[in-house]
Amino acid sequence: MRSKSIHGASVSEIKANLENSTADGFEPTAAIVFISIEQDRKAVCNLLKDRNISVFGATSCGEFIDGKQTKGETAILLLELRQKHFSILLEALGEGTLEQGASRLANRVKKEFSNPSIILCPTGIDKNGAFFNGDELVTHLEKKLGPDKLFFGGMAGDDWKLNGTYVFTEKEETDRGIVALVLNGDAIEIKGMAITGWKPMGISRTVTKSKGNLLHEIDGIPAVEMYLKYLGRTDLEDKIGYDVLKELSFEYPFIVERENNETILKSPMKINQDENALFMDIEMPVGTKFWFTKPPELDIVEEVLDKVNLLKGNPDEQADALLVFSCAGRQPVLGPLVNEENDGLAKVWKTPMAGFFTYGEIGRSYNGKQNFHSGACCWVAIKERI
Amino acid sequence: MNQHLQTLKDLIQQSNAFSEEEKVLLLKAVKNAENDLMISEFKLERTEKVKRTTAILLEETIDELEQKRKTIEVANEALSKSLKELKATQAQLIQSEKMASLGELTAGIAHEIQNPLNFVNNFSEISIELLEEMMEELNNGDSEEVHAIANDVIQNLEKINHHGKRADGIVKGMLLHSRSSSGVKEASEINVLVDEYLRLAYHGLRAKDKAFNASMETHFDTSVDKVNIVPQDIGRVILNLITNAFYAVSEKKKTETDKFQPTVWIETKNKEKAVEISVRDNGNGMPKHVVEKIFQPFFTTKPTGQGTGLGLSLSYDIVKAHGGELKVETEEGKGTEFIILLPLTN
Repeated sequence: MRSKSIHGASVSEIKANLENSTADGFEPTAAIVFISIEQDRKAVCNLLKDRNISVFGATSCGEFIDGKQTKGETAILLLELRQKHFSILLEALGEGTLEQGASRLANRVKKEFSNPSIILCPTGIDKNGAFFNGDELVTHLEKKLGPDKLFFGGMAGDDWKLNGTYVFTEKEETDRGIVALVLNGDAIEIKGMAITGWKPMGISRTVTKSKGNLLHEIDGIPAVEMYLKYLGRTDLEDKIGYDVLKELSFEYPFIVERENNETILKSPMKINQDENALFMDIEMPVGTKFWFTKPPELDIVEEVLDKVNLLKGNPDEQADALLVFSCAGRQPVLGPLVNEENDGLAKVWKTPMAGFFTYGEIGRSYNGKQNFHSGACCWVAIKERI
Repeated sequence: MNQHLQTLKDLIQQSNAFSEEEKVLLLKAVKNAENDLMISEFKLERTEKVKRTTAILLEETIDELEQKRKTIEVANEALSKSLKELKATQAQLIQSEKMASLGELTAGIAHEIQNPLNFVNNFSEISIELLEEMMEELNNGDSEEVHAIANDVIQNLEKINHHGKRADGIVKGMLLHSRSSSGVKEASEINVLVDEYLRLAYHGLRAKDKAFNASMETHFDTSVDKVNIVPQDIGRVILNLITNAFYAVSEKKKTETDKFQPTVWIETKNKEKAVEISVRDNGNGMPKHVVEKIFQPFFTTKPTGQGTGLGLSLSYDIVKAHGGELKVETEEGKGTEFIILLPLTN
């Protein structure tokens, strides 16, 4: 299977790059589009539709292909997939529950192939500002599809505007739903891994008071007070205007214990002054055990790339295409190292790559079970079986 | 771009000394250097920032742990005090358990003392009569008869002395039981000890409840050697097991027909390296949830005020302290058997 990655700051640039890429007879059947909320995604979709290219799309929080990383633009991975081996589904949740939507999607997936693998992008936040519960989605999908089925992906972004993310195909789009690229697992192999790099620091903590996404108390101490004090911001006077996400929690999220010795990062998004609580991106029920964290070491890129070899059948193994779903929080924390990480993955797999900065990642840590992640670099290599 | 690298870049671009190919190569090198520099600067800045925050976080954590340590220290002191009080209360309770078992013994002991006392009284009365007779014979000058009567008196006094010592032994035994254990082990005849406490228990219960009646069947293995034990402690265990057995059969008797014959079997066996003492009854037996708890301190199935719940717990501790085992086998509706195993090498 051939693949090519293209990039553009406008529809016309995308058009030109699309023409260039197909000039040698390359005939893509599917396009994986990661596009800024600022771009005209409808026009890009029409461009691809006119060429009979099926679209799997998600809005981004920064997007990249091998060798180029931008914000506010468009990155596309073009795939010459055989029509009979893939299908793109969009499941809008509408007024229904996430469980109902996940169940419908799982049923549709099972109808497509007896051994499906999935690349999926749920929305990250809807037009009303409600966060999509990635953890719940993974739980329902795993339950419906079985624990052995692979699915990797990332939640759509909106350049940190936090007022609506979208997933789409060439025919439709939604601000509350899931787009899925369903692959015939017997014909197309996918391999992937999710790594965060954050490490626990200090002593284990327990949530002693919380409600929904609001975290009130840690070990009996007000959570806001403890979080700011322990991260050196006791001097803070204007808590309302303080951007806790950008100033602190990108770098210092909490690391939470979960099954099978796995962990998940959970980040304070803002301070709720009325409730004197931290508003978390993912709920932390009472009794949750967690730690303060230390950001990834500076050798995180080497760690991510070294771990690729754990999944490679042999050191020379190549992939036909690579997708990277990198948490939007990695960028401010890892700075230029993020480019190294993403480009490094493309080099290790020796293949065209596209990816975007996400509001949550879906995948498996090494030897781990299917899980929702935060703060992770989640990559997936695609290869046609011979 | 870094100012120095920018200068370098400008020079390369403006220079005629390089071919176009060389310029591309050099400019690429400058770009790579710029990238490496940017990464190094980022790493340096981040290292400083993370170091600072990490230090604050760890210092705060250490402060917090120090405060927790102090709180724990205070709590520890309070706990130590409570523990001391608890131990004192438990010691009082253990003493009251001893006194309770002494109470159980009292009636049996009274019965046991009554026999030698009867002998003492009877023989002293007879001796008075004999001495009166002797005085008469002295007056009559029948020295042969005087001699014969004097011999009878001597025999009587020997019997009085014998029964007096027996009563003395019983009283001493009772005092031993009520005192704290000396902890001194001595070679003891197990069969004698078991028999003694069986009788004490039985008569004790009979004295408290005239209607109480139960068969006792004993089988003492005569080949059982002396065992090195603290006799008052093991005696307390035997008394406790036998009293429990009698209680169990008398409880069953209350709900059974006349055909039911309450019976307690006591047996000793020589097990080569150990001595086994078994106390078996045909009472109601115990359900599993009760069996699981019977050796726990303060657990009792008896009505409030009738048991401290310490008897079996103390018995278990005493047997363990002798390096032995206290086992129980029970079947609901059929009965219970307690087995004490005391090692000979103890």
